[in-house]
Amino acid sequence: MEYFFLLIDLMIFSFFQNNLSWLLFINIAAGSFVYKFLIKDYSQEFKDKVISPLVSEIDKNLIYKKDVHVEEFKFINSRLFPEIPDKLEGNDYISGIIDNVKIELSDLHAKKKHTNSHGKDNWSTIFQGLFIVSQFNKNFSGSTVVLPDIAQNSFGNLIGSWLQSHNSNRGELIKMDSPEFEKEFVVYGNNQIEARYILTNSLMQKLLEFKKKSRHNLYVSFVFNHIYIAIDYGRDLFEPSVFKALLEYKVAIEYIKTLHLAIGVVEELKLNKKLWSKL
Amino acid sequence: MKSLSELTDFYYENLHPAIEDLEKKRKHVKSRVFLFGVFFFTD
Repeated sequence: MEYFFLLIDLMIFSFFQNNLSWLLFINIAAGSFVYKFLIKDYSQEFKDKVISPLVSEIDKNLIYKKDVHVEEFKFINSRLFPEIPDKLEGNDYISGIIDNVKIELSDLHAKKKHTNSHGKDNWSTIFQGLFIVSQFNKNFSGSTVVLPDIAQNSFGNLIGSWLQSHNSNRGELIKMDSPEFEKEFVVYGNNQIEARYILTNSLMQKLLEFKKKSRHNLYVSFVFNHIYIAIDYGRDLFEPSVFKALLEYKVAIEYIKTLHLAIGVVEELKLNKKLWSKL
Repeated sequence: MKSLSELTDFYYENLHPAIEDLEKKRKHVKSRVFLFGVFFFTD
């Protein structure tokens, strides 16, 4: 085995003699590939014996499929990310009906391919984290998108506001009444009245609380009677680490909290409270 | 929906036999990963 890796390294080294960073990169990529291969069976068993029963315990109506993910057209329909992914991977799909509300969620990793001037392909991440789709309790026809307020937080109020209002591919910038909400999020939509009809003070407060609980950037959209939520964890969730004991409280509570937060979105945002008034 | 504490109880009570079994496997996989690391980074 040792000679095999030595041979591979020598072959690679002859190609990239003057570029040690390439050698390091290839070694890391190969190491990560073999690591995933070594833990594959353990990871599958962990999902069958731990994640699946936990999901059923949360609600008996839920179905868990470890190798499936939310369909690509739903990711695109959400309008949360303007770029169309060239590759969409994912797993840990949960679906079902909670309090008469249809919900589905999974891990997603959306990637975009870029080709440089030398013809080499590079992949960048559009989104990696938890993606949730659910029915919304109000009828509406347009789209409203709530994004993390990165511009104002990074460049201050003046430049940030200018950048937000010139984000042409997002639609109209909608200013909300809640300063606390405006500090955390920026809202775009194609109908000012509809956006305010959807984003009531109570929902804005609930989104702030949900963001606080998730401790990660939160992207939310309301498109054709559906709510789409993307939580940017930047990693694949529900994957066990061989370096952490499953009986450790910190490890266990992390899996439980993430599942509880994702599935609890119906209760948390009161999506089960029917508000059938039409605009 | 079940609360966080109810789910934590379920994890440690009902899933305990499965978790103990998985723990043995985890330790075995960990040693394989460690061995691979030694070969890979000292070749």
